[in-house]
This record gives sequence, C-alpha cells and structure tokens, in this order.
Amino acid sequence: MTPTSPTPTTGLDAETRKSLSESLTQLFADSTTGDEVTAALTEMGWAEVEAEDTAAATSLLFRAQGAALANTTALSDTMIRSFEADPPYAASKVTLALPHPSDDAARPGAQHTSRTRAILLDRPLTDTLVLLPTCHGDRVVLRAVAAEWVLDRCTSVRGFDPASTWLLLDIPDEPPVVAEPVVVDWVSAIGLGRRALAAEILGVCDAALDLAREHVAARHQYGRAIGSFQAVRHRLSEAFVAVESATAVVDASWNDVVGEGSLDTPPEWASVVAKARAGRAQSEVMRTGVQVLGAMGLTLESTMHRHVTRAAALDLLLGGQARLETALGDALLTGTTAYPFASI
Amino acid sequence: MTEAPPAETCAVDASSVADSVTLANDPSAYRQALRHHLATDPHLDQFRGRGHVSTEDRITTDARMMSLLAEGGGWNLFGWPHRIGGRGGDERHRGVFYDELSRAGLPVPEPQLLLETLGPAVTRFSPHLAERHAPAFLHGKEWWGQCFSEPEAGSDLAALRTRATRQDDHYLVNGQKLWTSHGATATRLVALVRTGTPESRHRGLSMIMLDVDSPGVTVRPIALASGDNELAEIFFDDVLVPADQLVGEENQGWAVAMFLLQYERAMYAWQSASAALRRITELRDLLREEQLPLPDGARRRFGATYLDIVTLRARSSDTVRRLAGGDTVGPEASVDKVLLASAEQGLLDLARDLLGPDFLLSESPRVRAWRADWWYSRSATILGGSAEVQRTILADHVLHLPKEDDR
Repeated sequence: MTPTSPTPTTGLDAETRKSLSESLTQLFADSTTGDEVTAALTEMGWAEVEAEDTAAATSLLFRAQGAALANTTALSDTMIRSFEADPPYAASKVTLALPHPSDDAARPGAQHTSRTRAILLDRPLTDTLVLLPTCHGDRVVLRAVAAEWVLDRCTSVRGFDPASTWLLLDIPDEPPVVAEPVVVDWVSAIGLGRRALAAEILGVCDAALDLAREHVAARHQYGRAIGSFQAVRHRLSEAFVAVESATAVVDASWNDVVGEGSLDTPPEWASVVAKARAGRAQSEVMRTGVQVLGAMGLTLESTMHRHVTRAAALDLLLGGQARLETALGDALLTGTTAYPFASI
Repeated sequence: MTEAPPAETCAVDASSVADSVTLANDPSAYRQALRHHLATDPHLDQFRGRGHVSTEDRITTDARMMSLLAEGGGWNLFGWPHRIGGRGGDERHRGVFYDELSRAGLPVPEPQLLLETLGPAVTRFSPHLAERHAPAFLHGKEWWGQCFSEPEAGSDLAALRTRATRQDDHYLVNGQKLWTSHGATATRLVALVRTGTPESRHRGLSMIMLDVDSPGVTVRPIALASGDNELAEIFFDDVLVPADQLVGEENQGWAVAMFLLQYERAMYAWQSASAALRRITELRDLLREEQLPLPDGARRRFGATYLDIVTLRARSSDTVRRLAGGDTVGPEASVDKVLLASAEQGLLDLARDLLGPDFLLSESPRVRAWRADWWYSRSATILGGSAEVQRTILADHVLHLPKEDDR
C-alpha cells in the first residue's frame, strides 16, 4: 500500500523517515520482549531521533510497534522524556503509571481521591520507582512509590488479550509516597501519549488490513476468490478509507505542536481528535477484518483476534473513541469553537 | 477551551500591484489579508445568514458576491493564472479563499463549484477558451454548466451517446444530457460528446464548450425532491459549434475528463469541508437559540460528526497541497470523495435528528434551508461517481483486490 500523505517540510526528510521505518520494522521483528525493544532503541539512539523530530519519530515508532503487536514500555518512556530537560527522578529507572480508563485521563484521580488506580504497561523492575500521575487542584503531580508496593497490589490484565503485559492497580488505599511530588506539564504529555497511541492503533490496523487482503485473495468459494465479490471489496475499501483518513488526521494533529499550523486549534484538542479518529478506524477495520476471514477470524486459527484485542486495549487507554467523541460533542454544544483542526 | 485568537490586523491593499505579487507568492500572507478584508468590508454583510432561497436566486446572489470581491480588491482572483484574469498563486490560495469565506460566515459562491471543476481543465487543454471566457466567470458575470451524464450514461460515463460530427470548421452536436448541475442558469456548457464510433467507449470522446444561447439548445430544469431546480436536462438539436471550441484535441475527451476529475474530487471536497465547519457551528447556534431539547446520544453524535468534518479537512487539505505541488492525484482521490459524502450526509442527518419535530414543522427560513440542504446532501453519494463506483475504484486500483470478473 502506498501512503499518500505528503512529507512534512521540516525535521527528518522523506528518505530518513523511510529508512527509519524499515529499521524499526526489523527491530520489532528481531525482539521478542519489551526489554529487548527498549535496549535496541537505546542502542539506536532513539532519544536523539525523537529530540530532532518528535512528530516523525513518535509516528514511526508507534506505528511499527502496533503492526508488530509488540508489548513494550515505549509509551511510558516517551511520556517521561517529554517532561523537558530535567525529567523527574532522572537518576533512577522509573515507570509512568497511566490513568485508569474510567478516569478522565487529563485529570487522573480527580474522581476518587482516596483510591489509587492506574494501568502499568509492563512489570516494573524491583528497586525502581513507579510514578503515579495525580490531579492536584488544576495541576497534575507525579507521586513516586516503590515498585514493590505496586507489584504486591496489582493484577495482570489478561481477560480480553491473553498476550497483554498490562497490570491493573485498583485499591482503596493512598500510596506511600517516597519522594516529594513533582508538578509536570501533564496536558502536553497526555497529548503526546494520545498521538502515540493513535499511531500504534493505526499500525495494528495496517497489519489487520494486510491479513484481510491476503485472505480474500487466497480463499476461494463458489469457484472464485472471495475478494472478487463486490460486498467484500467494498467493505475492505471502507476499511482502507478509515485507515487512510485517520492517518491524515494523526499527521495533522502534530501541526500546532511543531509550529506548522495556523495556531487556530489548541494542541490538546487536536490530540483528542486524533485519538478518537484512530479509535473509530480500529472499530471499522476490526469489524471488517473478522467478517471477511469468516470463521477463521473468530478462532485461534488466524492471528486476526490478536489485532482485535490489542486495538481494543489501545483504544481504551487515555480515553476511548466513545468517551472522546462525547467530550468533543459536549464542548462544542456548550459553546467551544468548532476548531478547523487542519488548514491549507 | 478558549476561543480562537482574533485575526491579526493588517491593511494590505490587494489591488496594488506590489501587494498583489506578495500575496500571490505567500498563501499565509494572503490568508491574513483576506481575513482582515472579509471581517471589515461592510458590503459583504448582505451575503451573511441567508435562509432558504431558490437555486436561481442563490446562484445570482453568489455571482454578485464574486463581482464585489473581484472588483473590490480582486480577492477571489488569487490562485488563478494571470492569463485568464487571475492574480497568480496556486490551488492553496483557492483553498484559503473558501476556508476564510466559511470562517467569516459567508457562503462559498455556487459558481465556484464548477469554476473549480471546469476552469483548470479548460485552462490546461484550451487556453484560448479560458482566456476568452474565464475572466467573466471569475467576475461573476457568467457561469458554466458541466454536461457529462446522459439518460443511458450515469455511472457508466463511457456509454454516452451525444454525438458531435465535424463539418468543415464546425461540429454539429445532437443528443441529450441529464442532471446537469447549474444547467438551468448557466451561460456556457462544457460537454463530453462522442466523436468516435458508437463502440469506441472512452477512446472516441471529446470535450467541447458551447453557448447555451446557440440555436438548437433547449434547457429544462429538473427539480430535486426539495422543489429546488438544482439540475437540468439539456437537448441538442443540430447545434453548430465552432471547431475551436474543443477543449483539448478530438478524441482526447477522456484524458480531459480524468484531469478534470482530480479537481472535481479534490477541490469540491475542500469547498464542502470548509462550508461544513461553518454549518455545524450554525446548527449548534440554532439549537442553543431555540433551546431545543437534545435527544439521547446527541452529544456523542455531535462530536462524531465534527470528527468526520475535520477528518475530511485533514485529508482534503493534503490533497489540495499535492495538486498545488504539481502532483497528479490518482485513484486515491476516491478516499476524499468517500469522506466528503459521509461528512456531508452525516452533518445533514445530524441536523435533521437534532432539530427534531422542527425539521418537519418549522417554516423559519433557516430550518427551510436545512431541509433543502438535507435533500441536496443525498447527492453526495451519487454525483461525480457514486459511492459504489468510488469503492470499486479503491478496490481495483489502490487495494488491488481480485477483480469482480475473476473466476
């Protein structure tokens, strides 16, 4: 499939992006665990690539991660790096806990002041710190707790996606904070996280759409490839439109962050749009992917189910499609400008 | 969330030659200057907040707005080449023009729809015709209709039968065209006609421009279900057309049509995307003013519809930039068309559902406009290649799925 988005005029050039994309695909193919991915990225000097062109680096890394269905802590690591020059607790290895999907991700913990709940992407190492973002008035602070405290209280999240490495922390206790809480620019971090997740969801969609295309060309019924039936062709065209258009949305969501936009649209609004649109795309692609694979789509025979469950989990993180669409509608109906989002 | 910042104030006189060159070279400077002009010219107020009017009134009023903009600074002339009466610049200027009109609460003038569709193709393939007639089009003095469809050739355009026969330095045109947008009021028509054998399909087609007042041309308006004469059928009985009114060469019509489709798909999508952002804001304001109770699920649907509109904007602005950069926009433009249709129909369905009983019962000019637009929005999945044709194009030429006749 040929991507049709134009190349941005700043940052990494088209050729560099292409070669980075290939390196990342290879990196995910060669790594079997999240730790291996983290080590390989460090060796590549990923933090420098990211500093040079955050938009391109984030889009490429997470799209490749999505396509590989990899489990890593890249999201947590990327968000921690975004806390400017002096990331909190820089001296030690830290993990960022992500807001519980039932919380408003922009205001974690605001709904349950005496409860501690969060999602961890993977098991933190012992003797490290876990940072819990917590709403404190109008600001969000990071509260550091010992990884052991979290490990003793969390459960694995394997119900829908047996391959998941996620941990759920949901307890009626205040955490024993081990250091002074740090105020961070949570609005920007969550915007970055949403753009990254949107790219990852689209990577999962790319892979699912490829599976579906291969299947409908190979599978014959009634003496012909099922991909030659108009009903099947049109569904796949619609799924393709969903991915292509969400890609344009995710690309455009960076404009006001990197200074190319008309500054008409707040970056945090743009990141909500991107995440919501990617959420919509996965819902359309997965529905179609499962359907055109016939019975294979809902059994373990095909890997389609892994895409369905991974996309569902990524959709939920930092605000799912339904929640974000409602939030946009709410804001608009109560008088917020219908921001142009993308312009010529 | 805060409101968008006010436009930077700047006093640029687009009619001065120096400023005109600057604006033609810099779409952002053009945007700022245009934004300032649209916000401050009191003559434009008459075109704001229009309720439902007949198609004929709407197109005539819009043409007057084009005259006002052309003669009061040349604001709508940017993006078009000098030799056809433009001020220079490229497709980005035109995109900015439509977007800023919408932002300023003004309509995208109806004649601009076919100016975008026909202007670039005529300029490219028959510059002499564009030089002769496009200046009047740009100044709102005339507009053109596009005669493609026929009773037996809708989605299957290459089946068309209207015939043009060469006779010395003229063509003799006979046949019938159908569903011609702006056909009821246009001065000139650009028609796709058969110059080859009846079996020649797309190889035997030519594009020709003809005057509506030529002897032998009969125009009959076709009303949409809304009662508005959006379309027309046009009959040609031994119409003599000078041979120099061919657009491109004889039998080159399909290539001209394919070139034209890039603009029809890309620029029309962007015009619609711009206008839709204004319309969803107007819908919100109407709901608030009338204090209409919202049905269950209204908040999410409102957000989802907004999402469809900005998705179209993201995709379509990329495509406009590609056109401006000289890229050929191929079958992937069907993505834009599919998005356009879902955004437009989604918006009008949202209006219908959120206005509730008022959608049927109210006679206010604004609600009448939503009703008429609802019917018009049904054409988004029909005209310019139906929704089914677009999906088939994507399946064949982008996804490379097995062909429908593969056995």
